[in-house]
Amino acid sequence: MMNSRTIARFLLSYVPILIISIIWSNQQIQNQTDRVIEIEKTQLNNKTNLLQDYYTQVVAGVHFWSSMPINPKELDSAFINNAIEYLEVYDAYDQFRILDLNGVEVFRLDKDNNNKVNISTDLQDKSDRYYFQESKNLNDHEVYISKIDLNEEYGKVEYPHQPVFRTIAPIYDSDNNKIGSVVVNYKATKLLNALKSKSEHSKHTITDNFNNIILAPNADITFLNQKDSSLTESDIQYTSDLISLSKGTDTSVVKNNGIWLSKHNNLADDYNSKNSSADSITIVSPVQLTYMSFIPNATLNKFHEPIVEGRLVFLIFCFILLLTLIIINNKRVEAKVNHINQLRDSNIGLREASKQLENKHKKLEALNYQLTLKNGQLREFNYLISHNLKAPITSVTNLTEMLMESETVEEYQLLVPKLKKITDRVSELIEDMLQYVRILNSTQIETTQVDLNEVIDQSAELFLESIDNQDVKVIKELEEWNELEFSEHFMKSIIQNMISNSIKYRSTERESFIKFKSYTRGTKKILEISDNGIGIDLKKHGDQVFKLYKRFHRDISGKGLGLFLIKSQLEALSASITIDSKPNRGIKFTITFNTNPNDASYYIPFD
Amino acid sequence: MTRATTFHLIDDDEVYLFITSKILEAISPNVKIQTFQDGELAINYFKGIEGNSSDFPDIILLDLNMPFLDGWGFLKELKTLYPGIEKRIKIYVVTSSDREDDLGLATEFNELSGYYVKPIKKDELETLFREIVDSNLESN
Repeated sequence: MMNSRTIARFLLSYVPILIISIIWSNQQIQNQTDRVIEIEKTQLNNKTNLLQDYYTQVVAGVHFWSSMPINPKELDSAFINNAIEYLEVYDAYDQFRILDLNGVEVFRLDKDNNNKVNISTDLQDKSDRYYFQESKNLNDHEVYISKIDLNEEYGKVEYPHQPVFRTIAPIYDSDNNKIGSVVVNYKATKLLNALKSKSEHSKHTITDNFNNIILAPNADITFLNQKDSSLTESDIQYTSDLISLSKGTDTSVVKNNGIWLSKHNNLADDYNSKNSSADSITIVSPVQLTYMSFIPNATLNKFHEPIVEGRLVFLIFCFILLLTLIIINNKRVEAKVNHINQLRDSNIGLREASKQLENKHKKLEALNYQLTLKNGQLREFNYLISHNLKAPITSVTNLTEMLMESETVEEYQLLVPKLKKITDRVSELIEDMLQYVRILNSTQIETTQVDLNEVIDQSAELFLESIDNQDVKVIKELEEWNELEFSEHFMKSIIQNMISNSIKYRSTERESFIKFKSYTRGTKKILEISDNGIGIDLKKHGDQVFKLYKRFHRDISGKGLGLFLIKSQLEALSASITIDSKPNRGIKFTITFNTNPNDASYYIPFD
Repeated sequence: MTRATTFHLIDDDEVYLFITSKILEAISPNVKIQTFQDGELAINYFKGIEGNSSDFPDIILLDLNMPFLDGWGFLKELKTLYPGIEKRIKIYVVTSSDREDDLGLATEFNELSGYYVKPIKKDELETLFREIVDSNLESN
């Protein structure tokens, strides 16, 4: 049932569905991915906005302090109390310091682990620190914001790790001379927490332009510039990948089994472009942050799962549906083919029956022909008897009557020879009839392979005298065939009669011959016997030639038996004979033999 | 003395010719009988007389089955030789053939006056003879 044509048909209809569904579902997957990317991009934008807002507050805070009338050499207690209060209130404040123009701390508030604010007496020289260097040239209305890094005290990273950044604003005296700067340290922990991804689909990473990782799902890889940590090789690779990714433009990149999205943020530029009026504050900061979001393939796959599952279900459904349809169709076709086969079988049966009928019909026809022939022979026989026997008997009756009435010896002498004549004729007739009846009666005539050459030669010997006298020459043209299945006795009789006739009816005006020529027409063997004798007028005698006691030449002896017997003998073995002749132009007999002389069913009348 | 009635007997049966002649002679002494052993000999006679009507017989008794020229052949040739001959000669077929095709053929010849199947009996011949004599008398 599942032949190759079925499979081909199935594939032909299934493969397009398969391709289309895969293309369609891939499109869906792509759309889904795009959507996820879009969501992530929005999230990243939100993060930068969040940061922007945060820094705006920070800037406002530090500017507030810088705009206070501060004399670094002589801080009044109200200012100090205010500062302490602020530090206590705002979690994010870590340190509050005032540096002189040389970068030396002149005032400092610390927060201890219990969030308690102390006025530090341990003032340090920060002139070497990068943030002092980067901020010492600040002008009025300018605020410096440092990078985020781990807090260091006395040149050592504070532990537990404390990510911080510093904001610095210049301070001026009443004469508008720059006298130092306010430095506020912010704890970045809360900010970084806020910047962490809230989405379960993605992981956020932030790097800065100092090749530091500020925020990462794995905290071990953050602030590597300051830490003395030992990382695994994969972490190192990952870190360097991250850094290199962050150098690029805002983009989305497929890497490490997921999609990376990155967004760059120049803190100062962003802020300054938004606050560009004359009296607004300008941020000075070297910091550029890169937000990166990683959406792992596993997450994406989770989104794609329904599509893939839907596709699978659809394909299975189509598979089963198509298979069912094709099987149903196949069954229908099979049924049809069976039906056609049955029709064809019955058709073959009918044809065979018809052929058998035809054969039977042919046999019947042949039989019918044979019967007609026999019937004709019987009628002929009847006629011959009635004509040739009735007359003499009547004559005998009349003669005997006459004899009984006769009175004189003369009358006796006249009548008795007549009687003798009749009896002679009757006995001759009976002799002839017997020959004929013998032919008619033989239902199964013994046939053998008859050598025509031999029969002709033997027959010619009987007429040696005539032949030797060159009266008639016997010519044989038996190249095509010279043997056939026939009765040898009949054949001899026929050939003898033919030679006898040709001698009898030869022409005295020319050299005579009798010619035997064999050939075949279709499957039938044909023997042509011709001479150049006196011939016969067929217009006069055409229908009489083969009849008994028919004579056509007064001056030549003969009783009209030969051709009659020849025809009877031929017909007894399903052969036929025709004649063609013109007076004084010779005669030609054509004998057509049947392939199987004793089987009437093979006999097809020669026309 | 009335003219002798002339018979032509055409038959290949020699004995039949003898017997029939004897019977006819017995019926009337005033008959003239001429016999022919086949149609060809008979037609040769008619060719020979060259239309001399005194040599025509009154009556022909014609056999059908004969060598050289049979009864039908004789009739055909006689017809072409002398059209309307039936008005001058009464021709009867006398044959041993009672075959239907011969009988059927006989009806196609207007020249025929009758058809007898052998053996023809003495009284039949007598009737025949009388008819001829009577008709001859009338015509005279």
